Amino acid sequence: MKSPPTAATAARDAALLTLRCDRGLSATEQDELSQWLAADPQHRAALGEHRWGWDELDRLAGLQTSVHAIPDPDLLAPPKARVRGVLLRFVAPIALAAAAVTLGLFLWQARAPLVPTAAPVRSLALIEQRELSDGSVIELNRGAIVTEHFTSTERRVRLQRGEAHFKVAKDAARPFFVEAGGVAVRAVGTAFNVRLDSASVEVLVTEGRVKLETATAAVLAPVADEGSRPGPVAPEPTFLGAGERTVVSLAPAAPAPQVAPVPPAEIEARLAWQPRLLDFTSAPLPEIVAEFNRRNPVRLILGDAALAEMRLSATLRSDNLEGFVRLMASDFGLSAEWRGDDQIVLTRAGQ
Amino acid sequence: MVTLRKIYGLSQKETAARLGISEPTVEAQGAIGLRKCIEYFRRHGYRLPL
Repeated sequence: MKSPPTAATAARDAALLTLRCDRGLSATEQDELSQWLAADPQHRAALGEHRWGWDELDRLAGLQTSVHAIPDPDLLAPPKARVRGVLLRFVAPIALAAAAVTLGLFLWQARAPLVPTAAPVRSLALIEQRELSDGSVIELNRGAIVTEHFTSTERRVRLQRGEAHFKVAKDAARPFFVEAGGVAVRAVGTAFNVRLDSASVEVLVTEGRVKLETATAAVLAPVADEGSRPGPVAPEPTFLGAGERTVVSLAPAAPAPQVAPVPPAEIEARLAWQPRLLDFTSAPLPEIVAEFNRRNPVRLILGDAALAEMRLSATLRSDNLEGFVRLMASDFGLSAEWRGDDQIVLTRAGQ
Repeated sequence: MVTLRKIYGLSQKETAARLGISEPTVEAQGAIGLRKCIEYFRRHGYRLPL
């Protein structure tokens, strides 16, 4: 069955636009995108499908052998015919493997598979760390997009989607701004988390102090001294100190954002998406499993009481659940099986 | 293209530099790759959850 040519063209355009949106659109391209979307009601659906597909390919990040691996463009090429042109044909099977895992059709092997295509590629949490030219460090949560716009007088970073944590290098001469959905967070040297949703921007400060400015007038009220309540005043900036959080609604006539202190335990929970190096020394398996479960959306379950006796020493990134499970399979002979969409049951192989 | 972008998390610019091709080429090839993946998803009944 062949799709009509218009659908094929729309799909081709949608694929290219997805790539462009990913790298960030120029003003002209933004206009072109709006026109393209308006030209045909099918276009929005086509773009939606392609953007979703592009994000789904994030799952492939699980194939990366280590954070420090040197990128190999031919990773997925067949061993003999290592030519670039062949590459695309071999991306599809991996994508299917990703799909299969998601659908719960993929059964784990007791031994770690040798070919990457057979490995479980569900990316449980793809977190990227990026160092900017000024030494500031951004941790990007899965799917987050930021763009850097630095000049000699200011450092501006745009959070276009998702959630990110910023550790800003001190430079009083060049203030650091994070823009998200019309809200600007200004910092000189501090650390904070920004999450952009479709309807709101959440800011949580972990170190220092930031100033919040919104593009929409009459939204904000000052918190000049501790304890004063925001009132319906003109667009004055809001200040947030360490351990404080606010949610700015992007609705046109939203009430003023409230700044509230957050208890340390909750801050930790909110920032748990940030990867941490977990260092275990002869730790009981249940303890390790609990630590991973606290930091990942997928739950590990010990399906065998005898496993509670196991102890091991390892250093693992907290988001590398996949690597941990693979290690348990390859070096300790455990078998792992998906249960439903979000659970992995570990048992002794052959039971 | 898709390998470098998605597995190694390289940006479009970094991918272009590594492969020695221009950024628009990376973009165009990425779009072709994405297109094929979407078609593959469709053929296998894996689609956008509503």
